[in-house]
Amino acid sequence: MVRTMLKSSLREIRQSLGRYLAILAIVGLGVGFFAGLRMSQPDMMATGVAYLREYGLYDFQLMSTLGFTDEDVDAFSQMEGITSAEGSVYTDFLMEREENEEIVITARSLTDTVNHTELVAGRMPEAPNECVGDARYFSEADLGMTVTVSPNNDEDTLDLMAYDGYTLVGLVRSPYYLNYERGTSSIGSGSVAGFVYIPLDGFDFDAYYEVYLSIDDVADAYSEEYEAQIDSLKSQVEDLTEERAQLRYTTLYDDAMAEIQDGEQELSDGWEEYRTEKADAEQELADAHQELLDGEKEYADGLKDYEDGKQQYEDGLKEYEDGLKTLEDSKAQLEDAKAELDDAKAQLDDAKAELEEGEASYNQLNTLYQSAVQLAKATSTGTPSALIKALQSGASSQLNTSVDQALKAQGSSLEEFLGGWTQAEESIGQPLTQEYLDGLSAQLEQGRADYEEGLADYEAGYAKYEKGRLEYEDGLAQSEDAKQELADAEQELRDAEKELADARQELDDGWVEYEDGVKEADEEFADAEAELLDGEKELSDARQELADLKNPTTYVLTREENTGYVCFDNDTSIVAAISVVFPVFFFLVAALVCMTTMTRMVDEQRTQIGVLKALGYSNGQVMAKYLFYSGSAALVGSVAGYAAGSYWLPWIIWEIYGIIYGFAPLTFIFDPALALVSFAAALLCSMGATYLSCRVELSKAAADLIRPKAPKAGKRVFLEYITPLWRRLSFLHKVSIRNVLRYRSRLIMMVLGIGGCTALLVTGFGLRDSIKSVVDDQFAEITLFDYNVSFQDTQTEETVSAYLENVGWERESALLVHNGSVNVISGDKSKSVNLVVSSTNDLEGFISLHSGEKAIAYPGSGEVVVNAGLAENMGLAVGDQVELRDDDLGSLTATVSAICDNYVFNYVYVSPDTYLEQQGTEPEYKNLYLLAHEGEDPYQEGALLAEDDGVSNVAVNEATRSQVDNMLTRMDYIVLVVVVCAGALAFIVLYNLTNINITERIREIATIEVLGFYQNEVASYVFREIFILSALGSLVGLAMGKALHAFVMAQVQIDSMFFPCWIAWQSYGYALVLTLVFTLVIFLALKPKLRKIDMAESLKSIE
Amino acid sequence: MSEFVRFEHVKKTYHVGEVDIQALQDATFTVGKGELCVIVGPSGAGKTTLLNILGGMDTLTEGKIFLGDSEVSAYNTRQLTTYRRYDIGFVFQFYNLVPNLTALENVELAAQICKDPLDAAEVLKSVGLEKRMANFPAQLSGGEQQRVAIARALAKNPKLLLCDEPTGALDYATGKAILKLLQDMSRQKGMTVIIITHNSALTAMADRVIRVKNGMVVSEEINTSPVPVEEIEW
Repeated sequence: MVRTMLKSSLREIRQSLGRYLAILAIVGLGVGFFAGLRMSQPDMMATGVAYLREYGLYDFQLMSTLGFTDEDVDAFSQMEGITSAEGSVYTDFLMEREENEEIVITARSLTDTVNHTELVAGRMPEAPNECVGDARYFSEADLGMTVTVSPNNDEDTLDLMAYDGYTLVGLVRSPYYLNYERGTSSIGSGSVAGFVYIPLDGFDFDAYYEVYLSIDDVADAYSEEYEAQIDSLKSQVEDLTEERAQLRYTTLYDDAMAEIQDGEQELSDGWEEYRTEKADAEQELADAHQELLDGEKEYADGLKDYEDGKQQYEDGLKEYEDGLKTLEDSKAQLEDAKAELDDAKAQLDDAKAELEEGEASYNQLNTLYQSAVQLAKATSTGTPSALIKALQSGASSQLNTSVDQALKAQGSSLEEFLGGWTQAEESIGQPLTQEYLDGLSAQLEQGRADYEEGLADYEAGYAKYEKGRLEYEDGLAQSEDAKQELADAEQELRDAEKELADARQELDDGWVEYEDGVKEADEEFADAEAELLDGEKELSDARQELADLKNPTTYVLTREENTGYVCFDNDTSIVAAISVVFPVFFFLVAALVCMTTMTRMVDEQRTQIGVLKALGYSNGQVMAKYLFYSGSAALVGSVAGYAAGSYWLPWIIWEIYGIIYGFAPLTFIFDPALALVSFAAALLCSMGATYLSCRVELSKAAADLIRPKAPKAGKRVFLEYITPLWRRLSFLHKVSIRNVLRYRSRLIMMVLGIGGCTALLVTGFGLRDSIKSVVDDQFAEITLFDYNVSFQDTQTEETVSAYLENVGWERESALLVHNGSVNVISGDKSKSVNLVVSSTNDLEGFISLHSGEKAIAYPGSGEVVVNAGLAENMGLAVGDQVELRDDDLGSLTATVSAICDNYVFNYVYVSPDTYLEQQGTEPEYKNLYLLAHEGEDPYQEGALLAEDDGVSNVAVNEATRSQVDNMLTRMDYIVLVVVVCAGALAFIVLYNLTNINITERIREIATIEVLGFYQNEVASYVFREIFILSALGSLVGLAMGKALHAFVMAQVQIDSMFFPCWIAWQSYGYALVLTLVFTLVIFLALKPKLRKIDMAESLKSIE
Repeated sequence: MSEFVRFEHVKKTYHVGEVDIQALQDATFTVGKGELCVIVGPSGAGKTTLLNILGGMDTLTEGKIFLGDSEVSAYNTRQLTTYRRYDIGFVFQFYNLVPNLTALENVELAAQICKDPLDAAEVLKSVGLEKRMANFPAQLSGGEQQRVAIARALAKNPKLLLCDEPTGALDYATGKAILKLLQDMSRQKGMTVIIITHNSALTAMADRVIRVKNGMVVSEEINTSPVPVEEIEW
């Protein structure tokens, strides 16, 4: 390109930036949507494939009714083409989540070579009683909790789970569960809530339940190479599986036989031993009994001896006490006698003293008297008395002097003498005479004699007392001896008593021991007997088992039987399907916008083109400018659009799919081919359009181009030929109609753009309607019961009546059914669905079997009713044969009698007769459908129903309904995305078209303004046709939307759900109104532009 | 003759970027009712500005304009539109017909919005196009298109007919025929017609000639003996 031309081109871009950006934006949007939607599926697929490869989903899953041993696993791993084989066990169990709430969890053993879990939080188990749980079910807050195995689980499960509880140490995702579905179960609510992975040691098992095989050089999942790999190996794997199963059967059979024989021997030995031991024990006990009786007798003797001794002692004691009393009496007597003696002695002593006193007095008196006598004699005064008298009278002083002399010689004196004499006479009270003295002497003699007598008496008495005292002392000594003797005797007795008590205790102990012994022996023997009887029963069971041991059935499953794996394929293909339709609109519109814009531009620059041509520029050079203009816009737009679209759209879609999958962040892949194709398409569209526009102009002579272009001729439109109608139209409407039809490309673009917008809106709202209606239809029209009560045991009419009475329910509001999980097999397709068998051969009032408006009869013998989604999925039609195979691998074949409506999950219905005939057993009626009571809170009623011990689970439909509701609400985001897309589309188209319309007719608009049209009249003159086109486009869009919705719904068949293809009339309304609102917004946005048009334009010459 | 149109010291300044352009410096003149007035001047003299302002398509900077008793210069945008709608008929140099309307419809387009329009067909007949009424502009010659344009202006029954170089895009003969039509309108229907042209030869046909130069009215003269168009040569 010439430099000036390049400059001119760049300047052109700067001057008409709006137009340039419009092309850029529409190309960007078109490419963005195209690339984004196109890349969504490959991105998702790449994410899935990478995830499956990284976490090594199994390639073959082998199952056998007899299980597998380590040798079997080895045999598989030796197979050619097999990298590794690993055995695993699994079971569904009831987990105690909260009080009265048990949920079904699938426990699987952790495997090393396949199905690696992806740790999301926490750590992997390190002990056999630890587990990692489903990151979708458990939350990080649950880490450290104990996953408790409910005691309500059946025996097999309890046996298999080695512990009562497992500590949750981590959260994981598993490639085995690619989507949110966890499958159904025959226990509890029938719906598995989540999974846990437990180390193999955490299980107690005899044989692996399944074996996973990984193949060599595994190709990408979902690829044809992979399918070929699987196909080429499958038959060999099947053969080996069958072979190993047969081997296992033989081994089991032989082992069982040997075991039975051993068991029999053991049992008879056991009986023998039992008998011998029992006899021995009985003898021993009898001996012990005899011994005890002997002991008893001995004790009785001892007791008698003791009692005698005791009597004796008591007698002795009495005697001693009597003696003691006598002694005390004699002691008192002795003391009395002593007192008496002491008194007598005192009297005697007194008497002696008196006597001695008397004698002394007498001697004194006598001496005195004698002296007197002598004096008298000496003085011869006669008698002493006379002397005294004389003396006293003092008549003879001589006398007195003689006497005094005499007396002085004796050492005395007369005075003393006379004083003594007077004193003596005064004291005796009479004159001292011989007679008196004689008398006194005689008296004294008598007194002495009495005293002597008394003393003799006292002495005799004392001697007697002494004798008595000695006697008492002897007695006392004797008594002391007796006392000691008694004390000894007492001690002896006490010892004897203790001895006896000990003996008693010993005996009692002996008895208790004996009783215990007897009891123990009885128990032991009862136990032994029971054990032996058990052994016998076991043996007979074993015999029965052996008799029952069937030839094994084996299953070789591939990834195609894994729900998550298959759903992922299906669901991503929905995106792929949508990506085929949706972007076409955008591309088409982009092309049209480019076309109109560039045509307009070339038209505008007609003169310039002419001048350039006149100056000698070649056609190519001139065209290059316009090609550069549109091409650069397209290139920039498509690169930006590709980058943004291929990132954001897959990201948004993946986020939405995250509700179902979300196992890994999305892998973005760059598809150079797609990028090139979209760039090329964008360039082709824009530059092609430019080329077409330019070519017409460039083919003309320069002179023609310089002259103004004759305006496009007006044309009569077909409506004008319908004269009555045409006449009726107001003049300005005629103008608008004619304008509408003037530019065909613009009409097509408008109708396509607006129609596309409306169609997208209808599809979006329709998607929502279809999905919403699922919930309403399912729970208001089909599932009429409100609670599904699962019992642990099979119920009968009686137990059900009892239960209903207990919870206060009416019999007519309850229906006993068998609920099970079966695989429907038809041709080579297999699908896990819910089986319902009604005990009454009817479901009236509980589940409404209908197809559209038509009611469906309950299936008769040999018939099955399946739901529409399943029928469609499996390609079933009325009259087809299907096989139903349950977990226990029993199977049932029936003819499809009708196809019923059902939206959530898949159901098949058969009659009890069919079940009985084909399975050979009555269906296990463990479930009860119940209708709620008006006005009651369903969750409370549900809890009430669950209170009974026999109930393992109560499913409240209200809960399911709100769960599904919740899940589906997220689909609103998809609708939002669609609405936004539609809005964007409408805006681009309308803005472009209106803008072009205005610029192109600027002269015309200026003219009518000069003519005196008011602003509003001008606006309606211009916009009326836009509105007409919008209305036309949206009407066409309604029809397109219905078709598009049908197409999209046909793609959106999520595995466990069936969506009816239905759009509410309101949705059409919304779509119409929204489209018109978009138009109105554009109108308001562009109205100021009209006002800015300069009327002077009308005066200018045509360029 | 009464003063039907009156310009009093009209000034118009355009601001283009930072430059002020004096399009009209001081224009004062009058036009009587029923007159055929020719405003003549060289390119860039301010003729078109004058016409724009008089036609209510532009506002003035200073001065006053009266049409009859009404002061046009005092009108707001809405009033200006009404003024254009009821009082003014406009004939453009490039006809400005709406291309996808027939001749008749183009006339009707204008007649539609008037209070007291003339019959569109009648007006077309009066401009000699009774046989071309159903034709689209593209199917008409330049002269015919200008006739349609004139018919469109006349159908509004305006008080004032403004013509901007009505013969500018036409050949000599056709131009003459158009001028004749305009003169007849004035003579026969008493329509006040103002023609703007750079061709001073046309002054001979006018009742009043106003010469404009450099944004100023340089002369305003009454032609007491206007010449019929047929006699004018240029």
